[in-house]
Amino acid sequence: MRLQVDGAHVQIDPDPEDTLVDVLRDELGSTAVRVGCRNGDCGTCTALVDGQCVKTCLVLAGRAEGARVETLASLGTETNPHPVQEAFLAEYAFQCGFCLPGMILSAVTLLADTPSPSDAEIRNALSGNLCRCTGYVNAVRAVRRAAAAR
Amino acid sequence: MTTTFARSLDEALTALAESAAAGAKPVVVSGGTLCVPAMVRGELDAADVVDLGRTGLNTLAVGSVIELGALVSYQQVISSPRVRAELPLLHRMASGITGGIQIRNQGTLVGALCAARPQSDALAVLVALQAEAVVVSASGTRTAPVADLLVSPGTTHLAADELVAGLRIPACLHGTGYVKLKFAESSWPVVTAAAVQDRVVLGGVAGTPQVVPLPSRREVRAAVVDHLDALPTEHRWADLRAPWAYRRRVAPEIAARAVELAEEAR
Repeated sequence: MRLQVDGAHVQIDPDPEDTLVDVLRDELGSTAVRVGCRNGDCGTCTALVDGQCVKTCLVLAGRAEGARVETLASLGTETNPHPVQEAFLAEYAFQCGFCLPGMILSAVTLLADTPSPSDAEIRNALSGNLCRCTGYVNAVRAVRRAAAAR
Repeated sequence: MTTTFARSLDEALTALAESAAAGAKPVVVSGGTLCVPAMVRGELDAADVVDLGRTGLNTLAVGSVIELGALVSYQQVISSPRVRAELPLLHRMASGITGGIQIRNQGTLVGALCAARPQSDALAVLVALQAEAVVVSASGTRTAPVADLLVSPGTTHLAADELVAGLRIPACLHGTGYVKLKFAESSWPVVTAAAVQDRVVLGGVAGTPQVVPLPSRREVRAAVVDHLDALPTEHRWADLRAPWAYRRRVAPEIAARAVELAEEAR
């Protein structure tokens, strides 16, 4: 099957039971999606699939045929980070970084629809992501900062 | 394991019919949030899988009856101003679905119905709204009240060659309320209550949603207690979040709060 991952057209041949996160990591070498719970709880496998923010451990890979997949790696670069990434850096909103695919892409999705979110809306949007370093307060602050900078 | 990524409803039904004819119990994937991890863990016997992701069953039509396809996500429900206006109960429930933006983008009402989990947010609300499921197979279409489809935890009255293609829910503009008790943001609910007109429907207290008629607004708690005490032991629900005795203790209050919300919305 063919799909587009972070702007590159790729062709893969997944097994029927493969999930999208496994294909992205094992066949395509992406480290911008991670495997945490495999249960839809932790959010670290998050990517945008055809613009929708989804947990890729919950998607059978074959469903993504023809899809445009954007991982955290496509968002910004080390020298030119996305404004949300910049805000997370500025607010010390992460330590180990394991949660960043979900945290950042959830924030980007929220701000696309709700440019000036309340704290409750920010917390609600981020609630599908588990942070092992307990950085939730700073993550909320970072999203607030990114919204203000727009 | 064989997986069919159906490109149309007909293709999905053909795959289901072939699988069922061979004696299998095919797994139908709608949003995937419940059944995909269950398959990964080996909890679901998934010899044959039919994935609806490419069937285009994601339309949401709002008239005097709201029609939702099998792939309509909670986020579509939340984002629809018409649903907010004409089915505020459904809108309120969807807005509180656990799991953040991602799960609201992926989870579906039809998936929640077919998973038939007693702790689900969706089931009591669908029963309270008298939703009907559009059940299709290669041999025809039938409609069934959601309440009649639910048999027991994890079990529905769907044949192996049938799937739920969508839901039909009558508009219900005013006088509804929904309250749930859960212990953490990322937790499933413990008890849910959906109040509509002269009844309250409870989730999380039994294997299937419990409809409690309300003889009087002042008698909500007593009506709930009487109903729960009459539940046969084998139908009482408990899971790791709470034993049945706790659910029995908190359900009258949750129900009363849902009814209060419904009264305020009149």
